[in-house]
Parts: sequence; C-alpha cells; structure tokens
Amino acid sequence: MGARDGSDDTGLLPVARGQRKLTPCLVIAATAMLACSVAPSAWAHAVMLAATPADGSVLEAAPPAVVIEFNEPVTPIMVELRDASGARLALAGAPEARDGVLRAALPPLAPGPYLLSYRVTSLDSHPVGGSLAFAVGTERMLRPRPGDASFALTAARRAVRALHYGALLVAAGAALFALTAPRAAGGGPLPGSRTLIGGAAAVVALTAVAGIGLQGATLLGPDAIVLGAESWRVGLRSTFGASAVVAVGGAIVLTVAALARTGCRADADGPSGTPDAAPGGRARTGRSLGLGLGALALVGSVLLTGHAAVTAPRLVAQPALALHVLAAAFWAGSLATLILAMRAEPAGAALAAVERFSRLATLAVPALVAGALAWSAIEIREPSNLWRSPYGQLALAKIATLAALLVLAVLNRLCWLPAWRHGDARMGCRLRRSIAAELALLGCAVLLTASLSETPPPQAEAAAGAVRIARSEGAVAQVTVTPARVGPNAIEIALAKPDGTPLDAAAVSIEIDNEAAHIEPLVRRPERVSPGRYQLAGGVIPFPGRWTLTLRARVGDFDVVTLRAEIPIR
Amino acid sequence: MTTALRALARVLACLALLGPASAGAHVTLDPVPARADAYYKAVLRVPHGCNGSSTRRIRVRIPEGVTSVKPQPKPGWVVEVGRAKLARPLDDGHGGKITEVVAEVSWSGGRLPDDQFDEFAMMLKLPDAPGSTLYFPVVQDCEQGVHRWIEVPDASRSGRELKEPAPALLILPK
Repeated sequence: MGARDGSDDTGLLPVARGQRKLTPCLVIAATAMLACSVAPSAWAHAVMLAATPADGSVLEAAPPAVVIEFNEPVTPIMVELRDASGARLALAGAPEARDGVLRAALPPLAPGPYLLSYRVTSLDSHPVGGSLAFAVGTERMLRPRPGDASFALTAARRAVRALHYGALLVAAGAALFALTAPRAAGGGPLPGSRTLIGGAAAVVALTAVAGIGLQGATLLGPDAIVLGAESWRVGLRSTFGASAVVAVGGAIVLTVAALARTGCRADADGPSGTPDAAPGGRARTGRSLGLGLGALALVGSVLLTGHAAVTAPRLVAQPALALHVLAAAFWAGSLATLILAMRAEPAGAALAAVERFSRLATLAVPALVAGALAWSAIEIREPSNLWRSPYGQLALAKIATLAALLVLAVLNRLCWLPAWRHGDARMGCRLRRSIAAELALLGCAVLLTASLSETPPPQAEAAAGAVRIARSEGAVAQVTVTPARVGPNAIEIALAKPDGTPLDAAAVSIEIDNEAAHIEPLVRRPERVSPGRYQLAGGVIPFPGRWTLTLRARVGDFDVVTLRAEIPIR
Repeated sequence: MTTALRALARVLACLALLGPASAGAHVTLDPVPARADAYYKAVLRVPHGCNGSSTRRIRVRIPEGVTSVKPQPKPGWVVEVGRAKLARPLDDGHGGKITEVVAEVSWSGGRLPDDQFDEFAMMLKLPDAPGSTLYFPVVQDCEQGVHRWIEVPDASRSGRELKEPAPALLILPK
C-alpha cells in the first residue's frame, strides 16, 4: 500500500505516523546525551580569582580596562559599566575573554564612583556573575562641594540660581494672583499682568536651562569644561536636570496661558472693546487652568532637587517646603503685579487690587511662616546650630529679612492701606514705595535662599549613617553604614542571638545588591573585630538608591543564618 | 528544503529536551522526590571537588523527622555516624520508643579526584509529612578548601539562584 497510513511496504504491522517521526528524534537525543557524557568533565562553576581594579578600591587615575581572572576558561555574557547615577555607560570595546581572563576596555572616566557588573558562563554553561565597585579620584565623590569649584563657576551658578528662583516666584505668584481675577478699571485684567507672567516665565526657562550646564560642570569638578557636552549630560542626569525640565514645562504652560490671545471670538457676546475683555467662558477656564497648572509645576520643580529631594521625613518636609514656596510666590508675584498696576491704573482700581491682595495675604503670610518653621525644625535640629553652622547662619539672615518684611506688611495693612482707603492720596505713593521695599527685601531673601540651597544642612554634617536592624530565626543583626552616601562606606555589624548575647559566627559574608538597577550583587567579606562584631571599611557603593544588604553568617558547620536589611544610599 | 528545515527543527527540539546542565555542578540527592513514611535510599552525588582539589571527606546532617539512618559502606572510605538524643522520645511503631537518632553521617579517609564523580548512599526512614521539603546540608572537605552545600531558600528570596544550595528532598503523599 502507499504511505498514506504509514504502513511499510512489507505489509506487516502498520507503523503509526507519529512513531515514524519519534524514532529519529529519540536517536538524535540519545546521541546528544552520549556526546555530552564524554565532554570535558570540569563540571564546576567558574570562580573569580582576582580583579583589577579590586572591588571597593579608590584609584587616583582612571583605569584603562577592567581585568578579571577566573580559574577556568569563560565566555562573557554581559558586562555593564554604571556611573554614579546608576546609568549605563558604553564600554570602549567589546569585552573579550582568553584563557579565563576577562578584559573590558573602559572609556575615559571622570572622577567619581563606578560599578562594573558582569556575567560569564563557565564550561558547564552555568552562569557566574559578580560586581566590582571602584572610585576614581580621591575626595572628589559626586557631591557638589562649594570649596572645590572655581570662584567664577560658583558665582555664575549662584547668580543663575537666584535669578531662577526670583523669576519662578514672580511668575508663579503673578499667575496665582491673576487667578483671583483682580480687575482693572477697563474691566479687563490688570495691565502688565500678562506680560509680567510671560516675561518671568521666559526668564525661568532660560535660567533653568543655563543652570543644567552649570550644575553639571560643578558636579564634574574643577577640571570640567564649563558648558561642554559632558557637563550638560551630567547635569541633565542629576536631580537638578529633572527639576529644570519640570520648570521649563511649567514656564511654557504659563507663557501660553498668559499671552495667548483668545483671538477673534466674534461670538454671542457681540463685539466688545479689547480682544480679551470678555473672553468666552471656555477660553477663560482654559486660561485659568493653564495659569494654575503652570504655577503648580513651577512650585513642584523646587521639590525635585536639592535638600527638598532628600530630607527626611519626606511626608513632613516636602509639604512644608511646598507651602513655603507657594506662599512666597504668591507674595512676590502679587506685589510685582500690584506695582505695575499702581503705576498705570487710577486709584480706585489699584486700591481694589491692593485690598484683594491684602485679604489673601492674611492666609499667605502665616502659611509662609508655618512652612519655614517646619522646614527649619527638620533641617536645623537644635537652636545652637543657628549660629554654629553655616546653614544656620544663612537661615538667621533670612529670618531677619522675613522679620523686616513682616513689619512692612503689618504697617501696610494696619496703617497705610486704611488711610489710603479713607482718601489720603499721599498714602498711595507711600504704599507704592513700601511695596517696592518689600520686593527688594524678597529679592534679598531669594539670594539667601540660593546660597542656602547649596549649603549642607547641619544634620548632614554629623556623621549620619544608616542604622538598620535585621532579624531572622536565631539571630538579630544591627547594621550600621557610614556615611550612607555614594562613595566609600564603612559597614559595621553587631550580630547577636535573639536573647541579646553576641553571636560569634564562623564566617560572615555580605552581599550588597540594588534590585532596581539589575546588577550582579557586590560580595564582600567583613573582618571579625570581636565576638559578634564585624567590620568592613572603605567599600565603595557606586550610586544612590535603595540597596539591600544580605548578611550570611555561618553558625556551626551546617547552618547559615541569612539576614537582610535595606539601606538607602544618598 | 522544507524537509531539511523540519529535520533541523526536530533536532533542536530534541536537544532542548536535554535541559540545562547547571545542576550537574552541585551536590544533589537522588532520586527526588520520595514518598512519605517509607524507606528511601538517599544517594548523594558528588560531581566534583573544590576548584580542582580532590574530595577527602563528605559530611551530611540528617534533618529532623528522619528516624532511621543506615549509611552504605564504601571501599576506601571510613563511615562514621554521630548520634543525638531526642528531646521527646518518639514512637517507633513496633511498641517501643526512639530516644536517639542519627544526626550526622560522614565518609572520610578516601580520595575522590576532581575529575571523577562518586555517590554516597544511606537508607533512611522518611517522616509521614507529605508536601514538606527536607534539606540535607553537606560539607565537602577537600585537600584544599571546603564546599559547604548548606544554603536553604528563605521566604524573602528575590528569585536569584542559591550559589551553594543544600540537597533538597520533596516528600510526596504515600
């Protein structure tokens, strides 16, 4: 018969179709298994013998390559280089392995900490991985230190930052004040209000962009080319970059909302005087939305970087700062708007605007003070820090400025404004000068803030590290990481039994891992200092984030106690 | 052309059946799994030494619940058994009480080169605990160095493989 039913030609037992296909498969599998059994029998994992640069080392010059030796020939699967922000850097060439030596050529490295994470396969095709953390440069870890940068760079950076803060406050505040819809004599918005918002927003955007380059140059150190490509890249990757991007976004939204003409709306309202005298309801809502969102984005951008981003407890610190900035913005922006209005508008409309501001200021001023108090309480722990630390001294100067501002505000509210309201025309002039003085004082406060934002607060100066307690069945460990910042860290471990007596483990090893970054864990061995106490000095932790420290303590021949602690690294 | 492709596909499928060879590098128990409350011949397979060095001694700790342990003698190796008293005597099923169990078994004195493989066997009575996993931590002493196959997965494991896992035995229902 034919091959239809798969029977063979002899007419004997028909062979089913599937069986015909299965037999060659089994033959191939059997042959493959046989082949494997006579393969080289070194069925062990590859073991790393030595690495240059060694894990945890701090080098004076950038190494040209990383060389890792294994005890048997290996094939590289993955080799990744990370920098101090956790971002991947490209290697200078493909990694190669010869005779069990893995070599990865490195690109030129700027000073700072780095992590090389690798995975290789050994002969039995089992993957083996690990990480090396090392740092280039000595004290120049990636934190801006005002002393290091050149004077010109520092001055430029501070000036740009002060301008940025000032413009941010005016833009956001004027937008917020415009939202309260103070009306000019002609029925439209206050003159100059729109231009003020748009102009200030433009300055915000420009200073934000310039600030990225200057911040990057500061982070790289004195040797960096200011405003070179590397500076921009580093600046963009830092938290300052994120903040600047949000600020530019907010500025754009504000500019569009403020300056966009609602245009030829020859609609049901009929032709009316100025193009935006009576914009349609939807246009007005759109504009209000834009102004509000833009203002909030600008205020939010302040929270994304600097001390605001890292101060704990965040649930208290961030709202306190947000309240403070919002109130300060409202104050600054409204005053700027009022000054312009008082110049151009007749007394009646100007008075109405000032009254409106004055009423709202009764909310804004306490909010400003409350936010400032909460923030100071967190950053300046003890009153003595106020005169002992640089941060405290700057804060004192700012408090003095605020006091002067409050005096002026109270005089305005209680003396001059009522007098103007009752018809004393000279009061208008006096009020205008007082508002100008307040704006000048606010400018001083902004300059002080720019310096404050770059000064480390007293709590960071103390050797604050991270202390964590890890528990498991049969053991408790207290892990102290000092200073819990990017760069060299000292790790101390106190190991105890649940009843508190020291646990003298036969061997202790530490694995430091950052799961979000998908790297191979760093494996380190601390030294035993005394029963239950172990120490590891100087190991480099290359970038910030939440790192997990896994402690493996061998207690006895057959038992390993595993303890885990989460360490945040700034 | 298509016949050749089909043949290639079959070959690849067959090779895929072979699975990863990774476990071949660890000390493992064979066979797994086993039935509860039964006698079980536990075979420890030692596929290599310590980074090229020959194995001189194998020590295994018997987990709780295993009440009868009889190691298999090996020519060239000396078998030793360490006992421990039970805190609470157990019923031995024949009307008596078990007060002492074997806690540790060791084979020493021999020499297993790194490029050879050997098996060390014991006869065990498994507990009546279906669904549980028993861990048999093994310390492999070599001429130079030690391998401790003593890691046990814990609940919070992030999913990474253990580097030196203890041989594990899953117990199935009777």
